[in-house]
Amino acid sequence: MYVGSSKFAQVPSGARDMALAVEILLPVNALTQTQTSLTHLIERAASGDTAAFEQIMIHSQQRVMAMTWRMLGNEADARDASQEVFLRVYKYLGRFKQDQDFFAWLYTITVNVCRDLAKKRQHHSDRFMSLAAGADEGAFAVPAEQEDAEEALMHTQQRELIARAMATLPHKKRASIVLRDVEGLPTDEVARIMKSSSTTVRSQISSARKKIKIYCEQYLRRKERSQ
Amino acid sequence: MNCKHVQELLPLYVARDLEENCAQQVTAHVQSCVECAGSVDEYRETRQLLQQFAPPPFSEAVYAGIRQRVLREIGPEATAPGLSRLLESLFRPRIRWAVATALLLAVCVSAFYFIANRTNDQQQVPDIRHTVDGPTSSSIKESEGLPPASIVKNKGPVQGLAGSTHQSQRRKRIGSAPDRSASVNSADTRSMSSQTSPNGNNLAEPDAVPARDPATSGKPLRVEMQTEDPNIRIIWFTPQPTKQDSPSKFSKGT
Repeated sequence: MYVGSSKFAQVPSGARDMALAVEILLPVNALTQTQTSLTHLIERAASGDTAAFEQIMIHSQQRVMAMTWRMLGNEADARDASQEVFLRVYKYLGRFKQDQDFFAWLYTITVNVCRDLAKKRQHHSDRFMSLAAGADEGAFAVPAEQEDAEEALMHTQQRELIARAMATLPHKKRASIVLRDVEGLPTDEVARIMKSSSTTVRSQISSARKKIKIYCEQYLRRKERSQ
Repeated sequence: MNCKHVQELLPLYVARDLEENCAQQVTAHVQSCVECAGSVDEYRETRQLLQQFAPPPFSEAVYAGIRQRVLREIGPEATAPGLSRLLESLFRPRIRWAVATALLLAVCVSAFYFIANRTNDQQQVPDIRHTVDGPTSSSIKESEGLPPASIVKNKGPVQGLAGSTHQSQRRKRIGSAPDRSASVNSADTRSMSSQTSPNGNNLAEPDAVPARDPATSGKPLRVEMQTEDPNIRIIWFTPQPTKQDSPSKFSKGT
């Protein structure tokens, strides 16, 4: 039986549902409401209209920042990566084809930027781990007014656990699992973003899920022993 | 389908990433196997945790800072969007256009040289004839002005006479004049080629017209024209020009 299941089961379902609802709400609404205007904004931005490009950034900044944070594990790197993502978007906006999905194209750039930044900072993994362990006070903090102390602690522990598990994954597997399980994209879409085949992405996702599950089991087992 | 095989498929099964047939087989196995059913629950909980892996809410100041930095970076590039983009689009390298332009230029240059050389060849013939027919100082000077040929008087032995169309024409003309042909044929070419003009002046100059000295007027005047091609040299012999000479008298000799 899953060792940590009893602990996670103690988390009120309302908290989990709420967090899940917020995660899904932003991309779907942004995509449906701004699809038409986004095309017009992209055309204007491609012709050098910075105001239009700023609007594009406003439309997509939450998605980019969330993705970079999940990939890099801390706010400082996520900010730097997001800035680089938008610079690349502006630079290559002329190559964007109107029949493409803008956010898939944006995810491709984001994944590449995160890979480059992680390579540039060799201590990325250590930093991820240190932040996941709580060195960055605000990284996993949960507002006290939303949940009581016990729920906040549980929520923080869960984020910490997943952050640690994600830190053990190589870049491609981490990107695949984030796009598939966190962002909720279909496997074929993930394959297009990763410029890979669906079979390869399925294999990466399967391996990543298995690793995360094993990591969680071992972590909670150690924790129970220590208690 | 045994447990080992099912365990391999469970990570994909929980998110419905398996094909329909395979998923049905796993479902059938999980319903009959307690251990594999437990694994399915664990994978589902792990996936729920992943879905909750949301970043902390970032303040608007964070987003505004990112936007400002990006706009500051692209600012110089976008200050003059119309002009800079236009210039960029104009000077953006396009291989096809570059190759087409290069080919067009090559064709134009080749055609220009071909036409220019042809025109020079056509101009040389009448000018030379004119020089021969009216060997006055002014006519020699005119022929001097031709770009491809230069007038050389009595410089070295005669070389490379074969193959010259103008010379063969000239020889025919000389041959048609009995008196001149005799004088030409009797003259030693090598010795004549080493001679200078009677007054020692260069015929290329306006004043190089030999003096109408009665003593020297009987000797033929040797005029050489060196074309641009070192293998082609035009040589002809003319009587010493006199004021009464005319093209019609030339054939009669002096």
